[in-house]
This record gives sequence, structure tokens and C-alpha cells, in this order.
Amino acid sequence: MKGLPVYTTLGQAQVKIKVRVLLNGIWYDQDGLDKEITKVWSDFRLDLTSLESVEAIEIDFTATAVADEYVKAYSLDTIENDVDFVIRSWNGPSRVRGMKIGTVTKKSTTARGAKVHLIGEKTISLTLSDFRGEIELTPLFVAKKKIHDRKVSTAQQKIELPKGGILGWGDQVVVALEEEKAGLQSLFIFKWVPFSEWPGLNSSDFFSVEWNTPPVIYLNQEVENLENVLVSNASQGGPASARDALNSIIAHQAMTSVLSSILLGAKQSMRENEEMTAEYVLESLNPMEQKVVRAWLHVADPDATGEKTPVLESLERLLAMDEVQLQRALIETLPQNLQVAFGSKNAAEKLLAQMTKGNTNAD
Amino acid sequence: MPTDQDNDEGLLEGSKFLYRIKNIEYLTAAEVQRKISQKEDFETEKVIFGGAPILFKFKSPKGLDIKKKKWSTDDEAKLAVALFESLSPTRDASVGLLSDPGIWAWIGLTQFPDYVINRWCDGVVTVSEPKDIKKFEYFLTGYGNHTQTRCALRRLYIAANASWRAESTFDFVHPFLEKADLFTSIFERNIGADSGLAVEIVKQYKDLARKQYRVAIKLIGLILSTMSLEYIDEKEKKAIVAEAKAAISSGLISE
Repeated sequence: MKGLPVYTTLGQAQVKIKVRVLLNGIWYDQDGLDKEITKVWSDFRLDLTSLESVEAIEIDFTATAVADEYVKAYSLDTIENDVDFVIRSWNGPSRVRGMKIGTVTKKSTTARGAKVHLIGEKTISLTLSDFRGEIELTPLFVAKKKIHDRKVSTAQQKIELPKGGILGWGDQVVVALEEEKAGLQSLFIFKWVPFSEWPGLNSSDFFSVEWNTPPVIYLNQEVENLENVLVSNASQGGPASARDALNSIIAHQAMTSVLSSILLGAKQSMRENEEMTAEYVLESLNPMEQKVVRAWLHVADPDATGEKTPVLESLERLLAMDEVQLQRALIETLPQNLQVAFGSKNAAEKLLAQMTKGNTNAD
Repeated sequence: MPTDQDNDEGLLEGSKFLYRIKNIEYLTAAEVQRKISQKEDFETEKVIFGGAPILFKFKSPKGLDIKKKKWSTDDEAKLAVALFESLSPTRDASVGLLSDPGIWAWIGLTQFPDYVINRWCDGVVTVSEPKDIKKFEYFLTGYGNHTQTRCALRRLYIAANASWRAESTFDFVHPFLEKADLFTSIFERNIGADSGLAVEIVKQYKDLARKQYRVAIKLIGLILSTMSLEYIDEKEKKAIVAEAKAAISSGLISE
């Protein structure tokens, strides 16, 4: 949830969490869980998407804020009575906002650059069936009541921080129960694996497409920096250009394989049963194949006028082609249109510009 | 065309079990429009929670024809309350179920298709009207505020739920639904998930002009960006809503 103020007297607190999950009626702490599961967890993102049988989660928060600025505006003597520590929760899919109040303790410290620490503590439990998507948990220090701000008050005007006013905050913890997927993520499952140890994968490849139910794009963990670049959230610069270019290559190859596989399969079915209509072919595809065809078939159709072309129109045209015409559509029309759809040219240009810039800088 | 589940026999009249549309993640507005216009069935599955099915007992409000062509705010408010009550067993089982887009699609597509089509899709269900395809998104919902407030049936539920949770009354359902833009201005923001605040806004802003309430609601968001909304009580929420209104009325803040 947005809404953290730019400036507060307690500032950003250091947050530590301990996690327990309830699995089949038994509580496990993080160390007791399979390492394969917890290695995808970061300090502040708990990914439970692969743990469908988790019934509940318990998170123990400890937030430590430096109170040295606080003392300039408010009284340290009454800080434990004036400030509360809360965990604010938000779950968009269920439209549920919530809050749990914890405890605060003032503690003198010899830590460098700080005289007093304020420690906030709270353990919260969440029953996961009440939620979907992602649960956002934000630790906050808030004013328990109106408190007089002597730093900005004047003889003429008394300024008070209102009850509920935010005095400090910590990093948000996100509990991911399921991912809302968009783009290629809605069509494929992405798996990072070491290709040299994985049967059927070639260690010299950096990705591989498996058209299964559900379809999978394997990405090679052994390629140096590949994972860092592909999961980067950067919006500009070298990693962003490299990521976009690599994404474009993967998307292009994946979609070519998938559409070719579906179309050649459909053509084969029609050859075996000439009475089969395009509509029947479409309906007989599995839901994932149907989704791909409905969204992307126009890119293989030489006579399509873009994504608004009705899917049945394109399918009828493509299935009516002879073998040579269909092969031409797959090796000429499809790659050309996919380059446009995935912005391949743009991505390549950005990457090249980045490289040129890098070379100029090096000189 | 939408199906009536025929395997719910033995239940009291008017009762049935709650279902969901299967593979909802693949259902698009175009597909909804095509299936409805070609009278095709939607694939459904019974919702099972804790090993048991859940009752969906909709009692049509007296004098309300749910197949009617023209819908007034009065009619919609009545439907909203009846829908909220019909989902009582679902809430009792788990409020998390009401986040499932498959359940909302089943409610719209199989229980109240005429309402959605007549109220939100201009009554058009022919394949030859591609310009209307986008309107069939009113049958669907998702995980974001935008798709939740624009799902025809979920919109009614959101209004009834906020009114009931805030003051244990349905008195505010009508004002919530009266101005579609005021509804979205409140509920498309995360602050709209706080029922007490939502009701306070509609109480104080329902007679304001669009230009005024939109700015005032933005101002509330700004005020609350430095506070924890969950920490303050109803009286304090009321004061914040009034403060934003006063700032707009006095001309202190404008668009």
C-alpha cells in the first residue's frame, strides 16, 4: 500500500522477521522447511506459491528505530505511552485492510550515531484461506494520541501530530500466495534449472521450451548473470536493455515453437478427418492452446489485419493452405510479425546503443 | 446459454449450491460475448470449502423483475441487498472465497445475465456488434480495485458490504450506487476498502458536484498518506472527510 511519508522523526526502522508456517496441522519454522522452497524467499518476500497446503503463516516482527531525531520534537520520557507499533495489512483481491497493535520498548544504546532505540515487536498470524494474491504487511510506528511537536510549534501556534500519524516505518513484507500473471507468464511456467544436471536439456542452451500441459520455459541457471539480468526490475540502463533483448529472443522462439506445433498438429488432424471444421479444431484444443491461438494466431496469418482479426477467420485460412503455403507462413510471416509484436528491433537498437555508450565511456 | 445446475435437487426451493466458472483466467470479454450470443454453456464446478458445498440462496426482492430492461438505482439497491444476503453462507465459510473471479463470473453469467446485459451491455448480445465486446468485461473481475469496481455484480456487493459493515444497515447502498462516478472515486482507491470511511464520504459528498467530490477524495488520500487509517476511529474519519470538504468549499484547494 502506498502512503509512507517522506520524512518522519523515527525514520526507517531496521526490521527482522521470523517465519513459521502451518502445514497439515503442524507448525514449521523456516529452517524446518525444504531448502528448495525457502531459497526463493528473500528477507521481505515470502513466496508460498508452491506451497498450496500451507494453512496459516505466523510472522514475528522486530523493528528497531533510532529515536535521536524524535527527541528534538517530542518527549523521550513518555515515548512508550505516546507511540504504538503496528503491523498494517492489505490484500487487494479480498479488499481487506487490517492492523495489529504490538508493543514498544525504549532502549538506550551505545551503537554508533545513536543514543536511544525504539523497539517495536509484534507476532501476527494469518489464515491463508481468507486471502488471495499477495498480502502486504507494513510495520509502522504511529502516534497513540495527539502529541505536541515542540520543534515546529511557535509561541503563536501549537502544532500537534494527530493520532495515527506515522512516526516511523519498516520495509514491507509481502506474502505471495499466487502470482497474477501477465504476458508470456500467463502462458508459460518459467523454471530456472542447471541445464547440465537436467535430463533432456542441452547445457550449451540458455533457454528451452517444452510444450506440455502446462507449457514450460526452462532457463539455464548456469549461464553467468542470466538470472540477475532477466529478473531485473530496472527501467533503463544496461541491465534493462539486455533483459528486454533477451526477453524478446525467448518470447520469439517460444511463440514460434508453440504456434507451429499447434498449427501442424491441427493440419494433421484435418488431413485424417476432412470433415473437421476450423471451429471444431479450435474447440478441441486444450485451454492453454486455445488461449495462445486466440491471442496470437493472427501473427501467422499473412492476410490478417492485426490482432482484431477474428481467430476463426485466421484459422480457416491457415488450415485451408497446402503444405508449402503453410510452411511459408510459419517461416516468413510468423517471424516478421513476431518481431513487430515483441519489439525486437527496438530492443536490439537499445542494446546496441547501450554497448556503443559503454565503449565511448571506456575510451 | 448460461446453465442452471440440475444436480442441486433436494434443496429448498430457490436454493442451489455456489459454483464457479472453470478456467476463469482464460475467459475474455470477447469469449463471454461469443458464448452468450451463441448460447453456449460455460464450464462450471461446485465450490467446495472444508469438504462441503456452499449454499447460494437468492431470494428475489418483492416486485423486482431481474430480467427487466431498464434499471433504476432503487432496483439496483434492492438487487445489491438480496445478493449480499444470498452470499451469507459463503462469507460464513470463508471471506476469501469472495476474492475468486470464477465465483463472480458464475454469479453474473449464470444467475443474473439479463441484469448485466441490460444494465451494462446495452442489451446487445449479437455476434455482429464487435464495438460492444469490451462491455462484456462487466461480467468479469480480477485482483485489482479497477476490475473489482467495474464487475457489475461485484459492484453491487461492494456497495451493500460497505454499508452493512460500517453501520449494520443498507441505508447507504442507494447513495453509493446513485452516481457511478462517485462509486468508482471511492472504491477504486485502497481507502475505499475501509467501510467506515467509504460511508462517511458518501454521507458528506453525495450532493457535491463531481468536480468537488473528486478533488476532496484525492485530498483525503493525501491526508491519509501520513497517517495509518486503520488506527483512527470513526469520529476521526468523519473529521478528515469534513476537513477535505471544507478545504474544497472554501476554495483553499481546487482542481
